Amino acid sequence: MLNTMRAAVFHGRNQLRVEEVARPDPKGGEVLIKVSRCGICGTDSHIFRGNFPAPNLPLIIGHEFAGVVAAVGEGVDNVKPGDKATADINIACGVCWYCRHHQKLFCAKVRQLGVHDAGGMAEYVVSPGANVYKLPDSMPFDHAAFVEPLSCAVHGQQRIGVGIGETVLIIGAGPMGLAHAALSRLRGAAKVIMSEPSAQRRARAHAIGSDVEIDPLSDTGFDQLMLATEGRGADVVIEAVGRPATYQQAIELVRRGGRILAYGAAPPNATIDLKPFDIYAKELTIVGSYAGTYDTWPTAIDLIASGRVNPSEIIDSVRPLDAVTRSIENMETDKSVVKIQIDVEAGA
Amino acid sequence: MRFGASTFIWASPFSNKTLDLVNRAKDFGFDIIEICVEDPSTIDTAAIRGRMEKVGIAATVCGAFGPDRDLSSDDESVRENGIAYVNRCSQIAEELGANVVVGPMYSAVGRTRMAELAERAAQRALAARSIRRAADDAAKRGVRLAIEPLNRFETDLVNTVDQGVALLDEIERENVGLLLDTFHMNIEEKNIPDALRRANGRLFEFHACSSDRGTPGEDHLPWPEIVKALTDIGYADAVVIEAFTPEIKEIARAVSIWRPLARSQDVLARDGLAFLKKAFNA
Repeated sequence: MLNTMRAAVFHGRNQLRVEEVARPDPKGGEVLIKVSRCGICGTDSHIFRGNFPAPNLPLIIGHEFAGVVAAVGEGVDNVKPGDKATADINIACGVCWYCRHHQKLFCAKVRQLGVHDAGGMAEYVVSPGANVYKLPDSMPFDHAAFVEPLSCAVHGQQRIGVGIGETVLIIGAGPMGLAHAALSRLRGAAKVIMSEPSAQRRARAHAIGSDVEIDPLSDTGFDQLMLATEGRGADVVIEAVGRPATYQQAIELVRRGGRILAYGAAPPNATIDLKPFDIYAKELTIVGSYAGTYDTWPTAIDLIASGRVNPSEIIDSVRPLDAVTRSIENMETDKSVVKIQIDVEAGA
Repeated sequence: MRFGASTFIWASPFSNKTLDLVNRAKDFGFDIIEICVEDPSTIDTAAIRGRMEKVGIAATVCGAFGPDRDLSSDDESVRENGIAYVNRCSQIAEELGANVVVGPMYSAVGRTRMAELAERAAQRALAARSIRRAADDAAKRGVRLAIEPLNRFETDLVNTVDQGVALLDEIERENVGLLLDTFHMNIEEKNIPDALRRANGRLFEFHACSSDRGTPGEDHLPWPEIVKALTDIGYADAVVIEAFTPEIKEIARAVSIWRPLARSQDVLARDGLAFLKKAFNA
């Protein structure tokens, strides 16, 4: 192995370059993964534009990666070189109040690969061994690199608890909205309704499991939702866009006594008009969902391995590492592509 | 064989806003980007050429022929406008280092009518005369013109290879040949490989399109026989995937794309290219 590698390095707002950097070595308890695929997430775009804190620059981005274990440090025995693997990106202190309460995402010392520490948009990435999951040999790398985003959606589903027979409105048929459509159906929703302005994305939502697709910009807008629920609104609304206007919509379209999952990442300083009286009188439940960790990872792995969730329905563009910056810029304007993954090995 | 991607797969009209497609085509492994010139004023050849050279990709140029650019119109001013447009495309090709301008330049797309043989012959003569003039302008720039037979729903003048060859014979210019597109051939030719063989020596460009304008290879076309026919006639120029994005309503309506034909346009391009490279053993 050479002691350098190619990696997508973020240097500050709008500055992301593929560079030759030192290849990391696994220390005791760590695992070196040779990356095959790494997905591009909306968070990468927020980091790139300087709208999401990335405190330690320069930073190798990428938190949706999968590959093969290349080497293990001393004391690692859950995986061995040659294993197909991915890693839970969330690393925490393990001893603080939050960690003791199984809420490590709120640990003051939480570090995420690809956000705080070097991530997987590179030929190699190092992870603590305890975070690494061995994947079935039969799982293709594109599916394996979807474990992280699916684990986040699984977390959201666990938080909101879609139940048998419920009507679920999902706002936004991006990669996460599509995953929520598939998961809501698996959890027994009687009706999954997708709100999405792009016709192509609506068709994708239908293919993955939504029953009714709505163009929120059309004249008839949400008539179909109201028709389907006798004018009540949805039992559950999942906001998977991250814009104030769609959050506002979620509050308007949930039924009395209904539940809202705040899943889309809105700009940190954005605000919405929210009448406390509505929460009170309608007995609304508003639940946040930030990221997947702990058991949502093996759950996501099992869902993909069993074929219950098929990431191929969502991943629709695979590009070489050199295309990473352009691809992130693309995401902002080209809505014809839902989910881009980088094939780190292509053209290497 | 060199493989190309039409900008119509993703964009309409092509402009500096979508310059990134030059990179994307290269990223996916294409050798050629086919620049579609809907509105010449949006084509910045210096910017495109700069990007092409930076990423290492060649270009071809494709024209778009609406009613105001009808080279066989009864109205002389419309014909002149059409000729001026083809000349502009040739100039764009020259500036991009492209050697061919392609498109159904004998008539306006969508112009269909029930006509007598004599009327049809008169229209063909007008087309031949206009294209001859455009060809002479293109020749000075070292550019070739490739006329494209379209299916019967899009034109009434040139639907088949045989009609295309007849028009070429009437034009009588060496720098004018055919662009053959499998989407149209599938509708009009009794046998696509045989039809390709009848274009021997006249084929300047080939559009490898799926029978439904989705992903090439995910269709019922006889690809091994098509490849063999192209090999037999010694065709070694561009093999271009042309498809249209359903995301942009104007172009989707113009070519009757009423539903997505692939998971995404990227999937269409990438899987289509992988299929073609395999089919052509490239």
